[in-house]
This record gives sequence, C-alpha cells and structure tokens, in this order.
Amino acid sequence: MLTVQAQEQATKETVQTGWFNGMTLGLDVSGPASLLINGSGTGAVKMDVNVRNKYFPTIELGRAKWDKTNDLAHRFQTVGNFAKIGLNLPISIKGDRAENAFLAGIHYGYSRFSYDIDNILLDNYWGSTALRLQDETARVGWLELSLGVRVRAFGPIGLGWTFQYKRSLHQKNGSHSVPSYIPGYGQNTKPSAGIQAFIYIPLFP
Amino acid sequence: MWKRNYSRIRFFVCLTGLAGILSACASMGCYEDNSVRLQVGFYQQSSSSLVAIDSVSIWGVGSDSLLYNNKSLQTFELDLNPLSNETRYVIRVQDGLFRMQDTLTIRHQNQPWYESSDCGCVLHSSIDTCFTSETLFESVTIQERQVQSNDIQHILLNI
Repeated sequence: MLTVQAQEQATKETVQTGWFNGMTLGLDVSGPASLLINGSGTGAVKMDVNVRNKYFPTIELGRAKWDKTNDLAHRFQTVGNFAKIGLNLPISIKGDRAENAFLAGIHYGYSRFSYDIDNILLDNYWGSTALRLQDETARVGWLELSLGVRVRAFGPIGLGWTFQYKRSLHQKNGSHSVPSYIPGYGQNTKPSAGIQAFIYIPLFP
Repeated sequence: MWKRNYSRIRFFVCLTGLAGILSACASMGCYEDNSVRLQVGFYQQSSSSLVAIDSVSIWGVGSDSLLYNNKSLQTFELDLNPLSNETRYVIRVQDGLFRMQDTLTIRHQNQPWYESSDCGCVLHSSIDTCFTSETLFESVTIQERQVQSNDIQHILLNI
C-alpha cells in the first residue's frame, strides 16, 4: 500500500515539475455579448502556457467595434485590432495543470486603429459650425495589471473572469484629434478599468 | 511551502501598490475654458510698449454683433472664422467728436482639434498674413503664427 502511494506521489511530482504543463485557450464571452446587445464590444482570444505551474506567459489578440454618441451629440466610430502580451502568476492554485487558479498578471497592450468623429460642434463669435473628422489614425501602448480566477466547470472546460486595470504608456493621436476609445483599452481615460469573462479550453493537456 | 506563498503574496502586493501609484496620476475631466482665440495688442513703436486706447469698438465684417463696445483696451481677443481662411474685423476708436476706424484682415489656415468628449473641439489656426487698411494703424507685427494657446500675444497693431 505504501509503495503504491509512493509511486502516485512520484508521478504527481513528475507532472508538477515538468517545465511544460499544457496550454489553455481562452475565449472572451463578455465582449461579444456586449456587441450583440448594444452594437459596441470586443472579441478576444488568449492563449497561455503553463510553465511548471508557476508561470503563465500569455498572449491575447482581439478586435473591437465602438459606435457611441456622447451627451454633446459627438459620434465616435472605430473598428480596430489589438494585441496583449504578458505574464500571469498564481496567487492560489489547485490542480496539477492549474485547472482552478487565482491569477495576478502584468501585460503590455498595443493597438493601431483608425476612427471617425462626427457631428462635432464648434461655437464662437462667427456662429456654430458642424465638423466631421474622418480616417484619423492613432497608435496606443498601455500597461495592464490584472486579477482573475478560472475554475473547471464542464469536464475539461473552464470558466473565469479577469479584472483589468490599465494605463496608457505612449500614445500617438490622430492629426486633428485625441481618440475617445481605444480598442482593447476601452474609453480613453487615465486610468481605465475593465472586466472580461472567458471560457477556457485546455490544449495539449 | 511558506516561501512559495510568500513570493506570490509579495507579487500581489507589488501589483496593488503599482495600481495605487497609477491611480494617483489619474487625469481629471475638462474643467477649463478650452477655446483658443487670437491675442492682439495695441503697440506704440515710439515707446516700444503696449498702450491702452479708450472708447474702442470692434465687430466682425459681415456680422451685426459688437464684440467690444466703447471699451478701454490694451490687449483683446478675436475669434477666427472656422468656415473661412480669411477673417476681417473693424476696429473703431471714438475720440470726442472724431471717429476713426481701421479694418484688420487675417489670412489663416484652420486646424480643428478634438480634445475629448468632455472638452469638445477647439479651433487651432496658423496665420499666413495679416494687414490693416492703415487709417488708424501703421502696420501689423505677427509675433506668433500658431494660434494654439491664449497665453501668448499673436499679433501687435502698431500705432
């Protein structure tokens, strides 16, 4: 009996100490839901590699669509891609392949996109003038700190959410404007925050 | 085991601290008047200084509303026309029974700048040339061609 337990323990440790402990594909579900409901949202796919159950380097690719009119009747429209790269570290972990985990991470995000701003009113002594800015192009890089959980829900499939805290690091604005929204970053404020829900699918388990 | 947890806790505390530092640098909303206007001054060449002139009235050519009405002015602000590359203002000075007036013409390129959804849009301009009808002012000096700030004197009307 002792021998069997020792063998199981040895096998378990072999799994835990191997440098490659599988990969996980994450599909954003909250962004597409928002896109369906109000016409603006984000779709993203992320992949992380489990290294020794200690380090989770991750890459995320996504596309965002934003079409909103603010209180001043300015209409901002963009469709753009973004990418994020970074590292997640487990605060708490359960399972040989991190099936259940509470993760904290640091990421760098980047987006290059074009946008239109419509119905801008300019008031001065000469009266009120409506302007339209078309095909403005901007580039933005940002730092993202994240906290998230993921749990095994249906067989190998997991569910989870990630809270993100973001701050832009560098920004090249359009030739006549500052973009109101940045794909992958959200509304152009310093800082910005967001939350995403994911479905997780283990690969090469 | 404790050592491993300690490093995770330390990482979490560092992230929280970094988030706090970044929050402290959070930007505020738009709380200032962000309109940019052409800053003009009356300049006396003999004394090499700005001078105040009494009873000045100013209005735009083609507009029926007075921008300044019988004011004592040393410096003043003018809006450039966003729909045209030329803006003209009449400057009239009343001195007792005598009335003199000059027309200031500014030729400029307009560059609208959209700052944010809170602050809206401002008109930045670049001055190409500037002249008067020379009945009241001898000449015009362009000190700064880029009209992007109210903190600088853009043109001087030489007396």
